[in-house]
Amino acid sequence: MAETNGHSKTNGQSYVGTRTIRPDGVDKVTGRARFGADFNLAGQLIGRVLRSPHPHARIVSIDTSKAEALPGVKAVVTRDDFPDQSSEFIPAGEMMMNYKDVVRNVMAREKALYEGHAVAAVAATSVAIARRALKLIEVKYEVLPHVIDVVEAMRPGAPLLHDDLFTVGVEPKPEKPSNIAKRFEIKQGDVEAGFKKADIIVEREFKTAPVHQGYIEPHAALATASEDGSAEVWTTTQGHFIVRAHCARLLGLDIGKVRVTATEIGGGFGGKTVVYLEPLAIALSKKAKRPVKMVMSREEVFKASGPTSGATVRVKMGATKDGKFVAGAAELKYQAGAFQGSPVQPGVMCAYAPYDIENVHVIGYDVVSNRPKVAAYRAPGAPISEYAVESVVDEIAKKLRLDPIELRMMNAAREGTKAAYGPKFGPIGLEETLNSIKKTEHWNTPLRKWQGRGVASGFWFNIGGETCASLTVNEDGTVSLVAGTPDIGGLRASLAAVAADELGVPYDKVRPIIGDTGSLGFNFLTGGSRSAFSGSMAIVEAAKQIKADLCARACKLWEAKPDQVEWKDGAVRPLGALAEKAKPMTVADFAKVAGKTGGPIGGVGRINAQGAGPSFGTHLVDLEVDPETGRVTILRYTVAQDAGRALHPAYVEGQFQGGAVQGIGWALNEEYIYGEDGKLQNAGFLDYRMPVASDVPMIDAILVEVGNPKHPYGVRGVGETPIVPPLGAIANAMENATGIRFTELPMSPPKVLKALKEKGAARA
Amino acid sequence: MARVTLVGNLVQIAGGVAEYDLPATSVKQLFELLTELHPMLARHLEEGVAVAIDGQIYQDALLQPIESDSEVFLLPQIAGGRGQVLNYDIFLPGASATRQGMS
Repeated sequence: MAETNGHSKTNGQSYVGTRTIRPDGVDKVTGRARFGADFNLAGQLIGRVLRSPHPHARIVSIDTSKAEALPGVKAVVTRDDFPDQSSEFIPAGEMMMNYKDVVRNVMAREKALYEGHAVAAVAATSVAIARRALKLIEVKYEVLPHVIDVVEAMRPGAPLLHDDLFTVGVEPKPEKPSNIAKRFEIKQGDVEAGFKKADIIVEREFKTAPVHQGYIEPHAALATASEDGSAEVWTTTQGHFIVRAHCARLLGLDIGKVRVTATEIGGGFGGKTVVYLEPLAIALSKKAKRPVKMVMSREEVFKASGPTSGATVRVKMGATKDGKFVAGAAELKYQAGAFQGSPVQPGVMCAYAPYDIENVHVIGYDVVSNRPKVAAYRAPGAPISEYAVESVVDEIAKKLRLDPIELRMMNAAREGTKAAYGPKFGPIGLEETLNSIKKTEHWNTPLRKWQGRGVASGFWFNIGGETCASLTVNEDGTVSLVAGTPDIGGLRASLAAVAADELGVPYDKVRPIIGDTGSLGFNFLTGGSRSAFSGSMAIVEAAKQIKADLCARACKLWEAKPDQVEWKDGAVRPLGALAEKAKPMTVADFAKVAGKTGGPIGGVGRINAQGAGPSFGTHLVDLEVDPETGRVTILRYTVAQDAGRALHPAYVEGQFQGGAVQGIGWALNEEYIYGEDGKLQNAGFLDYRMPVASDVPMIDAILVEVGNPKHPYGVRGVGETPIVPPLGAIANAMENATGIRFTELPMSPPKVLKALKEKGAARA
Repeated sequence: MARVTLVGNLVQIAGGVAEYDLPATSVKQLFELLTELHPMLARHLEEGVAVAIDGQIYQDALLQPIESDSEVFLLPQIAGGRGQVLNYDIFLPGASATRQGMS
């Protein structure tokens, strides 16, 4: 059990660490919960987007007159309705962004840069009229040559997406523009000297396909703009404060005049940290003077919202004959989509993070091509680079005839290890996850022919960030909890448990909600595995204010001095002689006399949470390959991950399981398939094959708890790390099942069958 | 003095020098000292970097203290931000002049 850093239950009943009933559960199972598309306003119009049919084309002209003349059409917007933005890089979300690009991504300006790029939008009184109106908009394109593949895009002479894009991070500065936005590198020690010490060197190139976050709920937004310059938005998002900031900036509104409510969210995984529909809906509403509702189709989600990067990665590792890693090099080329800003930087920093290696050199390239702009996806960039490294680690184990877990254990990062990206780690739990996996019955179960077992580890940084949350004690002693980060993975249940423990009230007397942007101070978004970590710190702070206030009120009621009272076990208690005449008072007791002792009781935690503890995990997978079809079946899967301390173990296990399933899809089936014409050929769930429940076994989750000393309860973020190891673990299992090292994802049936045939192992 | 190491492309921007001994007592002061040494770093500090102090990563934490024997790393920011550029002159007075003409 982790350290609780002094915070645990007070009145004999602790909710933190237990599997409490989710406060949002009843509404979700009864269908009462309101997701993005469930919100409606009287008189609302339907918004639809006209999208480019070309992957790369100059927009010569846009004539909307016929559409505007169609009865029932109330507004049409194009590039002319969005003021241009200056080139400024801004940290917003899990990746850097540039408003010059954001304004061009929400609505194409000079050029359409990918198939599906928004070119115009209409608001009409019905869906049918809106669709008809889109057909009446005349866009004159000058079609340009396109480039889809990252390596092709890097070649001299490749079709150029932006004539003002000069590679940053190279000396001398390039004189000509290219599709390479940035070169980024980290260095530690002397990698060449390290390779000279190696008895064995393994070098391989890997390719991964771009994959979509695959949230079940499409993007949806409802907006109403007023003549007084204010606007209100309901949207499915991971960060309504960020939506507010982006919309205000793109449309020239005051932040304080934009109110955004985050609806229930049907998955985000990083993909709902940016804006697509929201600024369009506000702009249309402003023009039409009526509310406008916009919902993407699944095809639009695939074609026009961000997947994560596809990549080409070259890894070279050296080890001594007894298994000590002495050098690690890598070159990463990540697709950014149509605008710069792939997650190559974290990919570079994470590649060797799980290991204690003296000499490391990793270079990354951020490359634009005619695809939708990538968005964050669970541990952005890390699964790609760590998949390549974990594959090579396994190959080293094989060549040296070492147990793959023992090899990882021998080289594992521990407390005090200097991470490949610089600083030393504090207390971390990689070794514990490896030990946990090794001790499982799963690890020792025999396998049959065509079955394989694979193991891999993974790392993600985790973050904190700006967080504001409030607690209010109601008249009857119940507690209202307002958080400002959308609840995707159990935030409300986790925060309610913390509030109940801190204030000594029953869990079911705490009602948590997600407040809109007008109800709290700024909150950074739900991402970086931060919401439960940071939110619980803010709740502890809010509860501290309430406890201090109640102690002060007790002093006044009891005519006592501050040192004669204390908060203990869920009540303000009189000390010493005072205990003879005064009785302890609980939150409920104070609620009854709140009005007579100073008014409403409440606290607001306003913090910039620091001290996020890094998270490590190790995954173990068994699979079976069908030699007739190349189909791969996952037979068994175990996840062990360091959670610091699980506020709500069931939700933490759910994160482990969800990450593993998404990683299974990434490894085995998911990919964006483009034709020669630069158009996406599988923009739907029938052709874009994501795992469904029947594709995966029950995933066993092992909670490792190495407490984070910087958090009052020892919490670490848990949401992102679990998607990192599956790619490597499955590739390693495939090698053990078939004797073939697969270096290209996804390992889909056609590719597996082809490889088996080439090896002469396929069964006719 | 704190031992300060720049990571990634910050090294290149600082003319290839990665390590410094600086008498900074806070992140704010560290940024000021680095900007004095390398004005070209200013924009990158403004756009956001993470600062690891004795192994602990801090983001957007200008007031975080730095001890005289601290080991400090400046890293690319992992995530964060409010969707707005910082008001630069608030924490690095006068430095906006150095931004002119930057690439």
